[in-house]
Order: sequence, then C-alpha cells, then structure tokens
Amino acid sequence: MISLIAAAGGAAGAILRYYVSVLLNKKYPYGTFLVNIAGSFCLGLIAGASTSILWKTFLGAGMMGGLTTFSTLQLESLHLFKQSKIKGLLYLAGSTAAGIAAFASGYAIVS
Amino acid sequence: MKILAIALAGMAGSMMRYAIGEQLQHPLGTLAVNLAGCFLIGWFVSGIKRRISESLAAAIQTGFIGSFTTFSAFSQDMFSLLEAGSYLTFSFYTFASLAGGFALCYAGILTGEKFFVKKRSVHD
Repeated sequence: MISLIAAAGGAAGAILRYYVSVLLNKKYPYGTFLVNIAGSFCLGLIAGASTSILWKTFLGAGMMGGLTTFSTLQLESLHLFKQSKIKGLLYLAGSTAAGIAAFASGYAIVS
Repeated sequence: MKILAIALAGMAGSMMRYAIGEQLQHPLGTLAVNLAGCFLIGWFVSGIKRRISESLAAAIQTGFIGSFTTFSAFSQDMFSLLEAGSYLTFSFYTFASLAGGFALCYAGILTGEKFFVKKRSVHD
C-alpha cells in the first residue's frame, strides 16, 4: 500500500525532471545535473526532518527518487566519454561528489 | 498526452524501485535498481527507441527507466556509509555503482545494437 504513495511522488518527480531536461539538456546535460544535485539536497532535508514515514516516503523515495536519475546520468557520461574521456569522467565524478555534498548540506540544515 | 504517459511510467518505475528496495538489505536495493536500470537504458536507446513513437519512447526512457533508478538515494547511501565510518562498504558501493553502471550501460548498448541489426537482417 505504501508503495502507492511512493508511486504518486514518483510521477510528480518524473514530470518535473522531464521539463527541466527539455529546457536545460542542450549541449551538455546541465538539466540532469541540476535535478540530481537539487534532488540530493532536498532528500537531505527530508531525511533530517522529523516528519512521518508517509511524508518521507512520498517526498523522499517518491518525489526525489523520481526526480533524480542514475540511468540517464550513466548514459550521458558514456556519450560524453566518447567525445572526450576527461569530460565523461568529470561529469560522473563531479555529480557523485556534488551529490554527497548536497545531501550532507540539506541534512545539516535541518538536523 | 506525452506528459501523462511519462507520469504513469514514472509511477510504475518508482513503485518497482520501492518494492525492490523493501526486499533487499540497504544499500543493495539502490545498487540493484541502478545497475539494472543502466543496462536497460542502454539497451533501450540502441535497440528499440527508433522503432516506436516519440511519446512512448519518452515514457519508457524518461518516465519508467529514469524513475526506476535514483541518484538522490545513491547520494544518501554514500553519505550514511561515510558517516557510519563504513569506509570499505562505501568504497565498494560507490565503485560498484559508478563503474558497474557505466559498464552495464555500455553492455546494454551493445546488446541493443546486436538485437537491432539481427532483426533488420531478417527483413533484408
């Protein structure tokens, strides 16, 4: 039953990611980077906040889980890697480092 | 119409991710969906994407596979492993996600291309 709550949040996250990607993913995948880092920050806020498990599931596993994406990140890094190895690895490593930092920042703000 | 399709596919992807996460020990659920999703997206873009409508392709790629995998939980997992001082698990998890996802995405592309070429040669 609770997976339906995650599903509802996931739908909202997916739509938001789609619009941001259409707007910002031109030459480089700035849109994907933005949703992934913003989503990690927000998940930090949600994880640190003292809200009910239902809200955490809806907003965290649902919305932020749906907003952020790992498969697209890898596909894009593979495309960049074919153009230039440095660009591909930088995108992957940069996203990962920024993701941890963003989550930690969000978490630190509320807890 | 396209947005509705993405939303529905996003629901399905998120629900599956959640269900798998409940079955596996943390952080193996996130690792499993992310690795599986990387193979799927590579396979999809190189094999099937060009044969279906743009809306359906967006629903499957952006909606379903995009929501099935997650980056925010990946960030959270790395952070919590670091915070707990589990450096070995952190290293393994991060390496398995990044290198594994990259390799599986590439393997998916090769599989999709093979599938596509094979299918086409039947009609030629």
